Amino acid sequence: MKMIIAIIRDSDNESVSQALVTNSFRVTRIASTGGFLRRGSSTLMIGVEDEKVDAAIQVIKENTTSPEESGTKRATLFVIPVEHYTQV
Amino acid sequence: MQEFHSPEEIRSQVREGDSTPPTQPAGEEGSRPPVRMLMLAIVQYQDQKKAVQVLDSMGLTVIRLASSGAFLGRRNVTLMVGLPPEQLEEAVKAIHQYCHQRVEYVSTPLEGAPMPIPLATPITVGGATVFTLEVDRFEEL
Repeated sequence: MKMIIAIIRDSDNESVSQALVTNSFRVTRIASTGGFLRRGSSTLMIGVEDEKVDAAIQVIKENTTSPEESGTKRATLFVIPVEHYTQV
Repeated sequence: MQEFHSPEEIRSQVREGDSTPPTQPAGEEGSRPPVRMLMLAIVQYQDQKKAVQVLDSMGLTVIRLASSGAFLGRRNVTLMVGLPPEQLEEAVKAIHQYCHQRVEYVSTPLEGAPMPIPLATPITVGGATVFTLEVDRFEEL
């Protein structure tokens, strides 16, 4: 089990979350700030099985738009091993 | 070990950093050591500005999450920082330096008094809580 922490721009949140949910990934959104010129951003926490990490990242890649300003990133992703996972 | 600067110095450094264009040459980006750690630092609201400034001045990307908790249930800030292991010690030291432990007073009713007389009880509020997680994979799109 892995947890993907994806920091994306607020404007991409809707489409990314929708796409992840339709691909049966579960998403938790946290409002955050920082990074991209300190503006609002969305942090998504996604719990996925090891073999689905690539698929989830692919979904995020496909649904983020590249920003107009050069030098800003579309998304920052951390993949973290999860020791224990239960869904109640 | 890099010596630490006063917030004023850091601010000027940050401002200098702002004046340079955000686009970094590809070579410079590539030469940075890979991000292998994710640090979650829970700092007090009063300390967040300085903490973000030092981390920024170290060239780290800081993401802020508003949170609350601890004994007093106060508003605090969770900072998420991706960093290479070499910078971990420096980052923790920086947070340590700028996130102070302070004493706050909470009013508690004086026991045994016929009237609820508030009594100021000192409570030590922690400096910062830092968790560091290993990152399997780090990507910037």
